[in-house]
Amino acid sequence: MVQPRANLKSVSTLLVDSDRFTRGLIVQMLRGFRMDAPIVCDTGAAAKSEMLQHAVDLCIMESVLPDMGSPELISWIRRPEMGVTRFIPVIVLSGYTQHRIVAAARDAGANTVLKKPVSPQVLFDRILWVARVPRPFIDAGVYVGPDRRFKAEEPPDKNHKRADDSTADATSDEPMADTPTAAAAKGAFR
Amino acid sequence: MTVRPVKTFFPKTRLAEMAAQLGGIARDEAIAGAKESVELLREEGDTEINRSIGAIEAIVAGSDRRSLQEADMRKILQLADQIVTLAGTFGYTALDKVMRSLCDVTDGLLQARLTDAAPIIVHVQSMRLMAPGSTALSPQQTAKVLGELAKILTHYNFCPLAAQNPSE
Repeated sequence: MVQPRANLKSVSTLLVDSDRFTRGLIVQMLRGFRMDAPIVCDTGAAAKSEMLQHAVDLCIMESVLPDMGSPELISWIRRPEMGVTRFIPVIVLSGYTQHRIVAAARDAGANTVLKKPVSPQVLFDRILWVARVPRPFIDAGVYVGPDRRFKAEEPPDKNHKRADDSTADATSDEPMADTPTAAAAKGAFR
Repeated sequence: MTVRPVKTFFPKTRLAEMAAQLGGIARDEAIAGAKESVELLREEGDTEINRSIGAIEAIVAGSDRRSLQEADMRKILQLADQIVTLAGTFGYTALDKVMRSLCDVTDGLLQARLTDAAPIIVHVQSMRLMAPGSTALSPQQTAKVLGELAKILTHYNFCPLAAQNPSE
């Protein structure tokens, strides 16, 4: 069977993680996906500076940065002053001991939260998911970010026919290829 | 009091536009390429794991072996979390389990404001047994070590971090 393809080569990615080795792992994964080398930062302040200087299409950040938490950085990105940059997909990487911040990151407007260690499958599927499964962007003052309400149901006949049938849960860290939503993820992969 | 109207946008992101372009890479090819790239870091990863284990051992060695300062526990938690990531990435399953258990116990002690060093010392000895480059234990020996570590969590009645509700 011929697999559908994804062209992520010229996606400008901002990677924010204080751990040198984790940054290296994610950079290697993105390289494997044939994406251009990301802009790499180790603090929230450096990330803000980079975002003001460069157009960024995707932001991957650690949940706890040395100088701020991911919620603070996400809230900064989601401000109206950021123009179209406020809409960029944000993927948060949470360590095993950082689970308490998962809900805060989601409520600050993260598109998805992934638990470390992140496998290439999970990262690739999530990047494609945030790219290809459209979610309205809500600015309600107290919450600014992608709509957190989306169906988590299978199609009535359990038969995923279209990309729109995707029911993937953005806050789950389950590998999409191993869940019942795998068909949806693959359906979105067109 | 004025209620701020909710604004809804339907943005088309550049990521979405680029992902929809023709050409590119197939999923299996992308994942295989990424795995290959990550594998290039294995040796460096092993060194990093052993360095972090050494750092935890140094913290414990610097204590009176009866109690640990809160700052030391937080440092251990940070290092252990890093090892969980590396052990999981490079497939060191037993080490991954030991480190998760160390995280659970250390976090539990911090939450309960306890300073007991003994449960941490036992984990430190176990993680050295499972470290990359150490003599491999048999599956039975590994199961025995993990079983004993699980008893510590039960003894303190701590809930594993993975089982806790993130919204709490």
